[in-house]
Amino acid sequence: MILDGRIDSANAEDWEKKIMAGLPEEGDYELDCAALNYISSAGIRIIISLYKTLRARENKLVLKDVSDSVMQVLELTGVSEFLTFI
Amino acid sequence: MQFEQNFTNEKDSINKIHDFIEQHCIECSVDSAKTVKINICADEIISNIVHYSKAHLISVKVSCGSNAMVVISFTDDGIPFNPLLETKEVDTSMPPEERGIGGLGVFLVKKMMKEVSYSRESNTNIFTIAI
Repeated sequence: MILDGRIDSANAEDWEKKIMAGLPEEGDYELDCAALNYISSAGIRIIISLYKTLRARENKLVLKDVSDSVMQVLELTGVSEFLTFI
Repeated sequence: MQFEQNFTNEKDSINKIHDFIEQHCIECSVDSAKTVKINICADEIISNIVHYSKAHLISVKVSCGSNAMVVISFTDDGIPFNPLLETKEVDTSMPPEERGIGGLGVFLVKKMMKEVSYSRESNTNIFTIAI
């Protein structure tokens, strides 16, 4: 799944549908964040919800090529420690 | 320089306000890292107003001067609401599924901006951020 542009309160609902639709039936879930400019707390809520779903089935949420600004939000909200980065 | 515009309080205004702020950050030659921080914080503030304030109008003012500081104020005619009182620290000692996520947005604003302030004047909420 490729994430691009921004995830904010204006488009979080659309992103949530798209991201959940791309969830593989089994295995880890990789989100390519190379083109993701920024994420606000509306996006963090999606990440937390997705993490819970994957953790329940013992899989990982993997974020690829995260930018500095996205990483800052993930770190400030304490979410980064539960994610896998490549 | 100072730019000000009024927006109606509806979900469609969120993108319009983002565009307004971004455009004037470019005119003020704000660097992209700072603009990203402003965008994130603006989203937290605007979404709070749109979802909870019951305001009719949102006025957004972007000011920049020679000291490289950008100041953005959001004024709404909604119910009295001080977001700074709603802030919660993230409890990183708890697993994420047990953490409450309310107040996360304002927490981000306080961490990412140099200054944040709230005042209630003439039946309006004025929330100001500076970076």
